[in-house]
Amino acid sequence: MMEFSRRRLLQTGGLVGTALLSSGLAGTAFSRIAAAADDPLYAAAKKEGALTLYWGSYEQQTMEAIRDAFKATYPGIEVNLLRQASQTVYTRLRMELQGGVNECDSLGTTNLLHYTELKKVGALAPFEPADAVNLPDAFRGLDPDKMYHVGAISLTSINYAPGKVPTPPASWQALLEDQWHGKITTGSPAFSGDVANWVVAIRRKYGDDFLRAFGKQKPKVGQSNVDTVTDILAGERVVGSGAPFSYTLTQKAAGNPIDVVAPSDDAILNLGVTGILAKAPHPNAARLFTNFLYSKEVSLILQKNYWPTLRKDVAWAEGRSLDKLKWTRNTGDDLGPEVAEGIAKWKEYVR
Amino acid sequence: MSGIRIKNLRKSFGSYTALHGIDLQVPNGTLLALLGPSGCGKSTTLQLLAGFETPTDGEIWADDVLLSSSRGVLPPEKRGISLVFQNYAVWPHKTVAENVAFGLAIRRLPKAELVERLDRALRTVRLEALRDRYPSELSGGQQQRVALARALAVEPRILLLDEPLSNLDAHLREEMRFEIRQVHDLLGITTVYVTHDQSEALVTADRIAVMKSGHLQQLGSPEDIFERPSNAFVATFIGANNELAGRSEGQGAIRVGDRVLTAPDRSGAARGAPVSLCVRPSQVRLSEAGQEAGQEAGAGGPCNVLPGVILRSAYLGEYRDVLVDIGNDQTLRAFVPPVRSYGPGMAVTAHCPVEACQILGPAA
Amino acid sequence: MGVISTESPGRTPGVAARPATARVPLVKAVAVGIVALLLLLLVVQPFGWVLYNSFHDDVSGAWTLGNYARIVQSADLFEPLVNSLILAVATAVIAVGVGVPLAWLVSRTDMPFRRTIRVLTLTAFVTPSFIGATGWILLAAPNSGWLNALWRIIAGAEAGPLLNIYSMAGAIFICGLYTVPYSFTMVSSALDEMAVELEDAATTLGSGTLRTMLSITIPLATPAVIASFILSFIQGLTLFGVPAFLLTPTGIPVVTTKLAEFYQQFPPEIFLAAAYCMPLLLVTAMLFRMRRRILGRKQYVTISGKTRAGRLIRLGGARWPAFFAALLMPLFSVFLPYAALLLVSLTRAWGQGLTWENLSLHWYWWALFGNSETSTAIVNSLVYSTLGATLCVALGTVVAYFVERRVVPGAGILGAVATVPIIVPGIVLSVGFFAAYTRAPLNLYGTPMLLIAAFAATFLPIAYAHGGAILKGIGPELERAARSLGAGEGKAFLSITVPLMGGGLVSGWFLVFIPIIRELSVAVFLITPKTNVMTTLIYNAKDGGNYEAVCAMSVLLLLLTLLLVAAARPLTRLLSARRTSRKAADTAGVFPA
Repeated sequence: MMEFSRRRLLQTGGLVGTALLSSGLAGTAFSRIAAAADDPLYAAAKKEGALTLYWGSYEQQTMEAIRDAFKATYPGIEVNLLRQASQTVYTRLRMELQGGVNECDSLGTTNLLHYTELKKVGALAPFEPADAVNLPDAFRGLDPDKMYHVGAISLTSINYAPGKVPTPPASWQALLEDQWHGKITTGSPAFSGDVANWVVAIRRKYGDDFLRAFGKQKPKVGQSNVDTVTDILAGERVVGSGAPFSYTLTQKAAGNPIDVVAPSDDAILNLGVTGILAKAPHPNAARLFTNFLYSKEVSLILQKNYWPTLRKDVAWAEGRSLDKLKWTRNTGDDLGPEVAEGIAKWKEYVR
Repeated sequence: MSGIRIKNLRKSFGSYTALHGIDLQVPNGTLLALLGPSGCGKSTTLQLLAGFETPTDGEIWADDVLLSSSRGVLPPEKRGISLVFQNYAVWPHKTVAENVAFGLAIRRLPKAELVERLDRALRTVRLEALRDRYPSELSGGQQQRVALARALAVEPRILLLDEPLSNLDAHLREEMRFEIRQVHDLLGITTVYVTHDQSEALVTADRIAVMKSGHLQQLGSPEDIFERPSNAFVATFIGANNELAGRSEGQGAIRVGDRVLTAPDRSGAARGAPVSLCVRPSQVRLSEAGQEAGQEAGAGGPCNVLPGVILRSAYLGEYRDVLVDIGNDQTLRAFVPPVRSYGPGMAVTAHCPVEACQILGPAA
Repeated sequence: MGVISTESPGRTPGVAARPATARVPLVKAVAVGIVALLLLLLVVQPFGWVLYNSFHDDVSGAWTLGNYARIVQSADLFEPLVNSLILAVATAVIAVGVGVPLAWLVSRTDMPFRRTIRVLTLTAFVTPSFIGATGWILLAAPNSGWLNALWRIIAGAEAGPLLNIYSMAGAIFICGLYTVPYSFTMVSSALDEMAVELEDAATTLGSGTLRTMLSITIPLATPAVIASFILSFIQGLTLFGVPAFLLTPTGIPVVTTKLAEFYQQFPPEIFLAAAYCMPLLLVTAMLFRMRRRILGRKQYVTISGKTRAGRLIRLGGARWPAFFAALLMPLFSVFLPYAALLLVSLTRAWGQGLTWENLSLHWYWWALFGNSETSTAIVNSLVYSTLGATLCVALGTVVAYFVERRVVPGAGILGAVATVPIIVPGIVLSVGFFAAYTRAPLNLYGTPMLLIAAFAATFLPIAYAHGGAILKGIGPELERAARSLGAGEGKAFLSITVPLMGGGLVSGWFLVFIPIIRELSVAVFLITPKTNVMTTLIYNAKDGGNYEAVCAMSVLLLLLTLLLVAAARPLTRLLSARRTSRKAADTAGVFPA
């Protein structure tokens, strides 16, 4: 019975999604709301009346914009947003599960491992967001069982101070040139998931030799990779390795003297993931939100905030797109030990 | 008002025993002075009486109410015992009137009665004019009077005074001594007065309890304590005294060095036991060596005669304070008429009338 | 005892064999019961979970000693402990070495602008250490620091950096700097209450002013000095922001940055983190033992019923030099870093540098109105801090009273319990609170009570230590006088002790309120969307790299707290004015009169 009604809801959701699409890509807010009003999933979510998001993907500002757009599209659902660092969010969720607390509806963090782990203990609920069809093909169907989906795309790259660096390093390898000795800033893989990801990718690519040479460049190691931007803006260092792509562009857009390079030997792509909790107190609202993530509206918000969009049909800011740059993603089922090993090697060679 | 009975009171703090079993009675309406050097246990006794400490053993009774025993204590606030502290403990955040009225307010007296008793207490210590002052604006003597008024206002059954005058200057102290006695005569409250100053005790108290090292040495009237001290410690502690240490040569005789002296024996000691010959300096007479005792020396009864050499002589106007080396590493103090000029190095003979001497045992 | 007649008391019928109220009085039993229960709920239970966790395996959840074994065996885990100890000792030495003389100058002398210095020192206290560290990074980073840039103008472009904040010395400097307010506040409230005669006695013996301070005044304030040393030491052990910002880039690990790693990695090693706190607990317990041995023998009763009029020590020609020396503290802890933060907060994009076009109040507008979370968070921060501080000071003071006056046998245990939370770094404690309050009998998850309880418990040691230091300065005979006049223990405490603690209690309240309002890590797992607080928002902005917003919100947090302190001033005056009509109302420790 339950199974049946959910499938029906899924189908309806899909229908609505297609309806949304066909109703014109430049559909007005009015038409969206009008469409939403007829959505049975919305009706069910509205009955639940609330939605609790535990999110670590996207910074506060972007996340709030997404939340506000959701509230505007689907009035009558109170959204409680808890935005904290991904690992903090995950640790808290784990503790809640242990304590039998069911607060969270939708989880969004930057670490795929969180979801394989949660799936293993049966903490996730399957759902197929209809609008996910618009995702770039590479990121569709992340989990065959539909327990989790792509929630964010982030790129790790090189950033620099344009005024002080006429020709920035064009690749990871170029960072090892003598001219960058004492000029590099980076985050720590022990604190930053993105940097840890970078370490894994770089070791896969170039082995420990790269880390050894990188260490000799005497980089300044902060915590988060966001610290690279701070160091460059402050003038403490001029080139950032393992740097956040979107965030650097945001800072550039704000008028700060900073720019970003997608390395020719691949920007490192990391997927933010999202899933609905099996014991979510507001499952329909969570489904509604998950589907909303793939709406044109959210991708426009992402575009505005210099994030890679979640739709093929919405370009990134300034005409960038995934197709126009070289990127790689760490895949594999056994990333956990590889990350730990990477951190250990980093400590040996870099720190 | 009630009398106090203390039975075999003991108090230990860890391995240190502050009180070794005190028995004491304070009849209703008396002013008892607890007198002794610091560390004698008098303050501990007071804290026990006030109810701030639990006795290790023994009992304290107020008339037929058991106040303290090793099994428990009636808390201080339920005893009807007022305590005046050495450093006054006047509350700096309250005015004089607020300080004095505190205990009355606790008793929830009707307003009219409270005011009346407050005024009476302030009048008793002559502080009416200062009622709205804060303690920091008062002299030490005035603060002491506030403390006294505060203690008296609640009309306690028993009043405890803990070295109340020791923080005052000499002049004020003498004045307050009489004032305390006056207040006692006026109100007749059973009072225990702790002091280390013997003259304070002699002036104010009906009865004096002398203590040392946690033992009660003697309990008696001021005259008893001064005239008939129960042991050498009491004799020395109260008033000026010469104490010549020796051993008992049987009833009425003591060997001091190579001499045997006689005196009324109040030691009850067996032959050979350590005892002392005590004699007040004012009772000792001197004559120049080689001369017979002068007429003043020869007057009245047999004397113990001790030859010696003057070590030090001080002229004090009313008398002369002379210290005589009598051999055997012992000295003797004599207060003699100031007319005679005794100088250091002079050979003299000291005459101690047998009736003025006492053979006493050591402190308990 | 033959001398004394010992007539045995008449055995009249009806005479009780034991004193009428030998049992513990009801009020006292209830009070002790409530305190014990609160401590159990607020401290024992959360800490019990931390302890319990430390003996469990992160992966399997089974009982194990493995966490402890790892700490002992792994050099990787041992080195941070040593670094933390170095940092903590140095922090405590600086805090006491600077804070105590400063307190003396402000409380006891006629140095000019004493009250201003007092307020400015308090301002340093309001500053979360990670904000202070951020400000100092702007000032003293080796390449970009403004002070270093200035130095290069003087010494030539090729000169090396004058200062390098990214070093152990830098971290010690910042930790010390922002811990000085602890020692300053605790010691100055002790000095405010001290009888001036004790100093006069030394002066009449021919002792100079400085000598009197060193040999009489400061030693008399020993309880406060030692308490503040221990607190500063613990601060040095448990601060996260400063080492994370200043030591991580240099590759010097300390316990708190290591703990953060345990939480950051996947899977998180929460139980190992719990075990990793225990060495800190051990060291701190040893400190407290030492304190007892130092203080044990002497008596430090400084206020007695014998009152005095406040009088200041004349510095003579040293007045102004003293003022300029005292000004260094606010200069380093407030003026310089806040100037840097303020400039950043006023730029639209701080990387552009200071131009007219770039100046803007945008980020203040954003923090106050542009961001829907902030207003809720500000209200939450203020409400939780106020209630938390009040609960904390009330409980801490009562526990201190039980301990100082030995109200019940074994009161020392209550004191020891009240001291535990501060030694456990916030993030670990946060897990303890989570475990304790998300299940029966006390399910507070998602409610403001959870944060209030956690905040109160976390800073209970400060309230307790401060309360103890004040109580040590109040002669017990003042209460005993009330007792002997018929007041019960409760009444004597409320009508005599509490008013006498007056100003000290208010300064104690701020000593707790301010750390609560700036506390971050304890809140980490306890906030929910509806119970978010300012610091988590600031940290989110930092996490998002939005430095202009971080700076703007920090400046706002500072202004807000100062405003509150200013608003509380009349209250303090009221409290201490009753003390004497003549004495100025500056006994309040942290306040200008």
